[in-house]
Amino acid sequence: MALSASSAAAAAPLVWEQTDRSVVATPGQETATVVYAFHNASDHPVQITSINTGCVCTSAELAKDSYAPGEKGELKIQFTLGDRVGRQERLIHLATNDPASPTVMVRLVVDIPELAVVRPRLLFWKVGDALESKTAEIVLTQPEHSEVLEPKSTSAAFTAKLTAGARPGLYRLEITPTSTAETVHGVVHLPAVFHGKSRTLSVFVAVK
Amino acid sequence: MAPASRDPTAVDRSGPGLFRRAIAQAGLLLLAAVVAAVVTAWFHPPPPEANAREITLAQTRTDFVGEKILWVDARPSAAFSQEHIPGAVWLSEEAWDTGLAGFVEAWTPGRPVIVYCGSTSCGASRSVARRLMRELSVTGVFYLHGGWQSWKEEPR
Amino acid sequence: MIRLLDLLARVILAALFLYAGIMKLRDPAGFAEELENYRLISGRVATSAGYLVPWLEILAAAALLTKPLRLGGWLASVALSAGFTAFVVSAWMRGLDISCGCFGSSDSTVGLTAAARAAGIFIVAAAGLRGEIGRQANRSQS
Repeated sequence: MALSASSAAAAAPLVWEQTDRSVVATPGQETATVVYAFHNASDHPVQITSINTGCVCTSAELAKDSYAPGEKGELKIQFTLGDRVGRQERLIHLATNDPASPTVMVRLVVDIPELAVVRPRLLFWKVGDALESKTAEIVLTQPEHSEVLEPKSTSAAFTAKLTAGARPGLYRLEITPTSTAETVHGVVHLPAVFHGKSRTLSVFVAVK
Repeated sequence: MAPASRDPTAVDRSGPGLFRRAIAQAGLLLLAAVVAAVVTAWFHPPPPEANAREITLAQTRTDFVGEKILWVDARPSAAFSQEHIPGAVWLSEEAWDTGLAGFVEAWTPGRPVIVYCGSTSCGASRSVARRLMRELSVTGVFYLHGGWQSWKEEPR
Repeated sequence: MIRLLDLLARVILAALFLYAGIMKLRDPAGFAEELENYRLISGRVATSAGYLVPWLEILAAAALLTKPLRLGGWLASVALSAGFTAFVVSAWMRGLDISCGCFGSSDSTVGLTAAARAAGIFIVAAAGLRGEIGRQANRSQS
């Protein structure tokens, strides 16, 4: 890593303060914006000819394309988190008109904490199965800032019961079908509050 | 070349003999590594989504004869609306829960699931395949090598 | 002089492999994912490699530092570095924009530096193996 940074700096006209950035998303955060500062350390103007973020979820913004010797610039990368969870890595490629370093890459790593882990998110019975209940487990990763409320099933074909588990933040959602005679789909909604904001967790239920 | 010792009990110190010895030792290291790896995997088993496997379009033609593949489109919604593999459901991490409802409706136990994104360079298909296995505990989830591009380019 | 070079090469290579192996072993599933990024292996094969490769690196490092197993240590280093070089160069040639995975997750990306580093380790290992065989053969002659 050190080797690549130093060798790139020796040859490349654009010198970056940091090409690798890592951020941790806060609960409810919708986008992550990171600015990569650079300056043109060469004695000739350098033009950034294209930027490829590889994903519509990631946008790149540059105030201008051409940078005079010594001029400073900032590349702003905005990553729309969507419903992603866990470690997300985005590689952004820039092409320049400089033969010494025609491509430059910056990296953004965003760690998106999963506030509630629901496993599994699908409970299904086959047509004709016994009317046995099945369970999904819910783990609130920050129990001191979270709570879950009473579950509601969208379909009358399923009943849902929530019980607290052995330790704080641990819950069991027990779902029982009222009939498995025919195919039916439903969702069990579990209203929840994370850091004061409401969000609904859901478990899909089906007789297939 | 060293004159090989004629004493059969002596260690063969010729070049080829030493090379054979190197191979034997390396084999021993490999064996020890396999044992250590198995023990590690026993104590720290891989997550279920580790089984999400990449598959080529040609393989899908031979591996799932007579089965109805459930295609999952992990591209941006605009690309999906424009055109997609017939019967595919849209499921992207942009709006996971929305897509998940559609997936669950289309999915039936045992049906092979193949996720695709734009081309070889996109990673969304694998992320979606892995997340499906992780969250829904469904099995038989694959991601398509070359994605939508390979589907479009397939001669038919 | 040769002795000193040999010692230096062994210690440096062993340190590299030990570090790389331990970093990978901290998260075998993560390393398996990095391997899948190369689009050469996936699923169970990648998962198995995720557990096996770090141990191979650690054991190769240990063997390099142990006199009786030095030959095997060198050969294992040659094999490992040949594999790494092949993976990195193939990814680079295919223009894949992926992280190298060489020293656990989130290190440098695949490119000239990573390819040169892997190839460099391969050359050192091959020379080391050759030298060791030569020395041991000479010792038996004299």
